[in-house]
Amino acid sequence: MISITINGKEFSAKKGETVLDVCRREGIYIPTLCYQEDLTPYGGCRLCIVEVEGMPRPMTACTLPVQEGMVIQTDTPRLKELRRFTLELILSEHPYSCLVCEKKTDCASYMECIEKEAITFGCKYCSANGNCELQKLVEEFGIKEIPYQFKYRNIPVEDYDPFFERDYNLCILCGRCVRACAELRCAYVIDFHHRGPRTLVGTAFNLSHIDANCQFCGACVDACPTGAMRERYNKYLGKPDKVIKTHCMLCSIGCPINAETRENKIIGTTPDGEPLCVRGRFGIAPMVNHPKRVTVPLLNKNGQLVEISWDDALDIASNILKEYKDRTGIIFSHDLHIETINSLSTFGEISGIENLGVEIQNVENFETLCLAKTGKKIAIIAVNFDLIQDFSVFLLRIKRALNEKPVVILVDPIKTKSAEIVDLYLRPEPGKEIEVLDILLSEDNPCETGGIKKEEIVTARKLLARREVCLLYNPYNVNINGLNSQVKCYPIFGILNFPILNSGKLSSAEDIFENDGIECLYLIGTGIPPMKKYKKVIVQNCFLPDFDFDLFLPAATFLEVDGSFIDLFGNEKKLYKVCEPPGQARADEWIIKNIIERLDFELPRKNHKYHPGRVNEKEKPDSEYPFYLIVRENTFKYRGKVLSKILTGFKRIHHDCRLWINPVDASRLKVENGKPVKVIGKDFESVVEVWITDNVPEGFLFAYHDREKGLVKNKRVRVECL
Amino acid sequence: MSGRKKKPKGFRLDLLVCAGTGCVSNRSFIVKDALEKEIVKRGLQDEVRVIATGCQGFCERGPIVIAQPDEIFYQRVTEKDVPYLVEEHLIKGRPAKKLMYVPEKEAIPIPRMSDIGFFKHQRLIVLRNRGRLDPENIEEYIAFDGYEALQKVLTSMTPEQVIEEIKKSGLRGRGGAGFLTGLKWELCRAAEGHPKYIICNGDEGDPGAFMDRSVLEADPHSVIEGMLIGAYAIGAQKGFIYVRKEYPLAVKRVQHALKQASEYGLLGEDILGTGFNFFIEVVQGAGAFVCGEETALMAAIEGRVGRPRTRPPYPVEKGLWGKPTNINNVETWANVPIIILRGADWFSSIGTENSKGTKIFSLVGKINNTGLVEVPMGITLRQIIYDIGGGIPYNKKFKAVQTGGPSGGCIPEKYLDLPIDYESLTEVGSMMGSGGMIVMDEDTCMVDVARYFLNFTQQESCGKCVPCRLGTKQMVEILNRIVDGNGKDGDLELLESIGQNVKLASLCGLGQTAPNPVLTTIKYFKEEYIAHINEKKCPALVCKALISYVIDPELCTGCVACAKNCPTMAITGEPKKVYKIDQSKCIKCGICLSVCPPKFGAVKKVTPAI
Repeated sequence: MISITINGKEFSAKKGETVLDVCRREGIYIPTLCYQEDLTPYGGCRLCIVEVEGMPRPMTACTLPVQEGMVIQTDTPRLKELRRFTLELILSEHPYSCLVCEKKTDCASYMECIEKEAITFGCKYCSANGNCELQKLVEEFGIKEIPYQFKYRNIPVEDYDPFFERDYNLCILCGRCVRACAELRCAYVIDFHHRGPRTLVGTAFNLSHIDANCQFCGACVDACPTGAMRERYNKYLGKPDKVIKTHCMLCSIGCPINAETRENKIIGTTPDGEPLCVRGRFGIAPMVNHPKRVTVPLLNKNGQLVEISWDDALDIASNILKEYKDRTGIIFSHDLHIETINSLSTFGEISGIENLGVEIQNVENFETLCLAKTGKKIAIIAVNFDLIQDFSVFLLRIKRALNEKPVVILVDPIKTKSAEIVDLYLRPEPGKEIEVLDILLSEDNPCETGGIKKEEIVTARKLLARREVCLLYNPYNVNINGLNSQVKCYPIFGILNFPILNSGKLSSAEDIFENDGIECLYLIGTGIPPMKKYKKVIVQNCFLPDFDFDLFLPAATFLEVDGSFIDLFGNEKKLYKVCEPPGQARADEWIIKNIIERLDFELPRKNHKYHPGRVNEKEKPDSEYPFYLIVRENTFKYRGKVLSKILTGFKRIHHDCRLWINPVDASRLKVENGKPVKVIGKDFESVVEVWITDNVPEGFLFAYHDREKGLVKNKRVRVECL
Repeated sequence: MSGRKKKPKGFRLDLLVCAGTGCVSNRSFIVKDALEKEIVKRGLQDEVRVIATGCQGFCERGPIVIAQPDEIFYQRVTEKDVPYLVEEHLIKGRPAKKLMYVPEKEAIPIPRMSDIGFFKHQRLIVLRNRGRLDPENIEEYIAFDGYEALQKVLTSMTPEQVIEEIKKSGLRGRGGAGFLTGLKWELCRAAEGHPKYIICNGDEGDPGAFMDRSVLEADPHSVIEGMLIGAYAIGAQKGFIYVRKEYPLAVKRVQHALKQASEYGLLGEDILGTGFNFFIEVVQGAGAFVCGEETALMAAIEGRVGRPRTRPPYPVEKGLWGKPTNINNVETWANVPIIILRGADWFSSIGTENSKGTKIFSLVGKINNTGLVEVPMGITLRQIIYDIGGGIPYNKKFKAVQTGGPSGGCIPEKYLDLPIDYESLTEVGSMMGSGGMIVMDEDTCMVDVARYFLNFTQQESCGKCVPCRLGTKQMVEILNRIVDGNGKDGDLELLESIGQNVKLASLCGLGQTAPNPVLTTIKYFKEEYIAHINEKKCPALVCKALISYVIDPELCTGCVACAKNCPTMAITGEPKKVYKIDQSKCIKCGICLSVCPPKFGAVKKVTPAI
């Protein structure tokens, strides 16, 4: 323990602590701007200066390590003057009328213009107004005017990237975004440019953030103390009036989020302790508030969609179900809450409708992921698994849990963005992943295997040496049953509620479709199109499906209902109601309960017929179908709706509605980037936009799982230009 | 200069051609080639040898050729002078008078180098080998007692004894701050952490300063030897020499020297068979002034952006890659071998009570003898400027001298007899810095000078901390408006208050010293500022906005020279009659003044502007 004196009082501190740490702990106020708790101290804003006895000039508390016997003053007249001086200097470059204008309190009421702060030098319409750390400090110091000439930097606003905009005219160069990008996300997308008065934050060579490989996690936006980096969606939606803690349900990690609402409407989501990815940070509010959401029950009257009341809708639904009884099949999504899934099983028991299918297939060898500290150093091998795109916070979570950076090796024939962040990337030939893993994990002499060079295997083995190896894979993308090596394997998938869905009682959607006795479909929260013609189709969802239906019941999203779900790690996570469902949309549970109330009959039970999953036979190369199409699970969706289809920003960063094709194949077929082509397999035909990239090997095509387009499993296809 | 001690058998004469950057850019290599050809032509190749040496320091007079062993000094030698030089000196055996140095006020040429004022008053310790050996030949360095200090240290001293010796010598860091070198070494040796690194800071960014470059070019081995001794004392195995990329010759010579030292077993593993290992790597800086700051320099070596960080922790505790690191300037390292060799007592006998040894200054500006001078601490400014520098050209009046690079202060005439050391310079508002010394005469506007230096430091600020980035910017804005004639009441006070605050609140040495030129000029030349602000006058007739060019009707003879050369046709009149400048057309380019024949001297500058 070290004892130091602050403002005449003695405090004890631990070795390695800074003076600011001690002051924060002891409740001694020191103003800061460039300091953020989870980032390395920077010492650039010079506001946290303190007087240290024996030092000729003030020192920054954020960078000053405590030393035995230190005597510190935090609030002398000289410090006050210097802090004020520094703040005034910041204001000489930061548009400040929102801070010092004498009419600032009333201007909002009669100056209803929506000019951006970039044009007006700052006003009530700065998107950070009321939420700006600089503004707070200026108020605290009572600065009314500055003795300096104001210099507007006139930097064009960067608004060409999705999700957030950057107006560096407002930037005070505190460097928090730069450090957050590097230290919290290991992304290193932004850094400082130039020097002296021309210093600016930006990407290398001034590329757009998309080209600079930004993941749009929003860590920089969250770190910014001013309005320089602002989320585009809620830029002019004002300050939240309520913040509710809940969880994100857009992938199986289930991160905690702070849902911000204003006037009972969700306006944004921010991280709550754990880092968020682009979906959780920027995807939720626009999806929930999406104009295409259906908010009234709809009836299909001879091809015309007619709005009807809930009473009518529930009557119609229950009448259909009464009529078709056991000829009804229910298919639901894994994105439903546990409570809804439970009420569905009750529904089955009461109604006798036992053809209950979930849209996923069974996965064997399920094991809950647990990366507790074993004392040993960890090495991770990820197989056919996109650490960045699908689970961008997954690796960060592991790093936090282990308190160190594990060695990560990626084995994937498709070169995803993850290849750039791992310690070693191995690109086997498609289908040879297991062979490569076996040679990596065995002690046999290394030899060239499945397109991986001998030297690469030697390097990989060096990385793995003396570490505990964890194999992470997505069971949808690779079958590891053939693996001979003894190694801990953890399936990672984008599906929520997996443990209860995988309990064996449920059939799969395929089972329902194969059951010829079924004439009526009730689809809850799923986007699976009916595989054949059904007499009646009832859809219960948030967005209209792409296929014909008879009745549509508008459902609420996970922000509009209390509930819970089970995440990838097997934990049950709570969801809280953040806002009211829009219009007449109702919770799934409410709809199901009301339908059950209207079903006043009982039927004898039938034995549930279980269809074993079909084994995919590996098709042989064929001159008619020269390409092998690889299909991967798309985790970018909610209740069957692919986010890229409704939110344009996602389409720009995630090529998930496209067919990836190698440039060599593309030039041979003379297809152009971004143009649609026809993909033809033995059992399907579909039109898809192409993305030309060498991320996919020659002779192969890649696409994310898309039932609507028939892109459901690996198969041989041919491509035709339109 | 004692001249070459060991003249190899067979040669009666050595011609030392200066190959410092100044002389090289004045075509000294062409002169060297011409000399060699001429010597062959005259059949003297077995008697006379031509050698390229490091910088002689007297760059004003380059290219320089020195004939040894008589140390006859020839200046401004061109290839055309070569036949004459060879004929006179080598064939006829008499010094070539036409190429000798003639002091401005006298008419008699001075043949011997040691009789020339510029050299006579210097005391060479760091530059002991300058101009007397070939920097690309390690054997010459060894012949002049090179690596003897290393041998002494490795074979007969413990690291503690080495540190004690350096501490006793009183050597202080020559990079500017003047921290006691021995104490720094001791702290670094005592710091926890492994490995330890040492760095030679050769990122000389001050405009007009070139002492580090000269040392690296003229005597790279003395720096390497100093680093070896430091590494032994501290317990480091790896060293870095950080040189600016703008010093290609220095980089080349250092790299060459490192290669030779490795070949001779003086660098690398098991040095001199003592089991001591040391490796040196050269890192080239990309030319940011701020990288001379030690933490920024280390960031640059690590491959990051060269921006300083706050201290503590100091580099001796957490330096390169978080390991204890000792960083010293080129000049400091070059002092080390000779201290070890001749002893701390000898070294501490030179200089003042608190500042021992010598200091190299690059003497530039309005001075007759521009060049590099090494003088003992405690010498007065007057001795440097008048005895060594030969005074101010054209009999102009001395006004001020700026020491310590762009962030030093301007010292007025009243302090000319100030004995120079770290403390005395700081006391008068300036600093030792790395040793730049810029002399200004009466034609220099101090407001303009302050603006010039501040503009430099503000452009070179790294942009990390607010006071330096924005405070200096505001100061430049204010100075700009004063110089443009828009100064207003309160500007001077505002300048002073910003300056004081920037000095206190800035993160690194750059910001902490950047306001010095402004603060010292306000302190010593306040009346000039007031003239600019209140009367809109520039007393030195420099600030364009505050002056006008006029033609004195009494003196103008109507020779048409000015009117013919005026780019804007602002001068009108008839030949043989008085001409007149139309002020509305005049762009104040000054051509009329320079073309008006001195015998008339009719064009004049006046202030305030008309």
